[in-house]
Amino acid sequence: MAGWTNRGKRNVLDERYRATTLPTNYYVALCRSTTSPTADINTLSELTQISTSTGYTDGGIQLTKNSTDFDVLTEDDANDRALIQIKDLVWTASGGNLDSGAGARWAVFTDHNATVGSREVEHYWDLSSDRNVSDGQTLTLQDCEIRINES
Amino acid sequence: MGKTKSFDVLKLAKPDKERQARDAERAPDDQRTWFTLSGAVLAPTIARILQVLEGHDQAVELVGSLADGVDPFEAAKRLTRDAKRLKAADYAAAMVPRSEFADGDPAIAGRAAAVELARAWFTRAIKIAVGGPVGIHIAKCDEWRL
Repeated sequence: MAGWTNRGKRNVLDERYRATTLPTNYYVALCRSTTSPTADINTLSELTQISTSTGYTDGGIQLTKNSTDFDVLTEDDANDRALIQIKDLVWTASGGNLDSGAGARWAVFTDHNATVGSREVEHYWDLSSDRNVSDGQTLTLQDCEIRINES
Repeated sequence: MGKTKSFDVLKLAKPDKERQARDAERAPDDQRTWFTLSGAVLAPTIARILQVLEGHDQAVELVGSLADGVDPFEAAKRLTRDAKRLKAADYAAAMVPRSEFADGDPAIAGRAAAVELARAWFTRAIKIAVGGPVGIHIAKCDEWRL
């Protein structure tokens, strides 16, 4: 299950129609299955990130607001929706398994805040099962999409 | 990359001048290359997926560049794996416009999965062919409608 949080919906509307300050960057974080994201999640502190000592940086991979990092934009008149895709994201385990626990179950899109736990969760993607990789191996996410539908 | 003898994404998609001009106006330093996909693009994309599944060809159009820091075969492996999960009936249904199905027809879900896979396949292929960010306009049509 992938989706928007209500905080994400609010932020998009607020930024678009009230011209509030945009985040300097966005991030994709990896979270364990401990808590499943829902539309009601607000901040990253409500979820549990994977461990940070073996290839995963606290807060996840940083995205810049440009067409390099958001590399496919689709306007779909056949289905009355628009979609944007994020570039391929790669984490490489170094010095042990990427996560000391069962692994990542969720990829989570957040805004920027110097306090990582206070970053607002705007979108999330279910990785279907706990994903972990061993030392030297990579975990790659491709074609993560953010969609706006008519209904 | 991006094309085989029978599947050339840059010939199937049409440059979208209107959206390209709009992009140039709104983000002159950060443009995408825009294309329009008509309904006619879907059938050759489905045919191409079936060609790969039947083992007649490799999905070379999905093989990326080493320079990206990503396994260049990752997308080809992933999308081929996804393609194998669908049934022949799903691909057959995807060859038929959505308007041919009555609402509630049980074939619609499988058809939608095949159409979405075709979109993902084509999108990845054209992104690789262009070698940079792309914009995709899917025209209003019953072929791409889920």
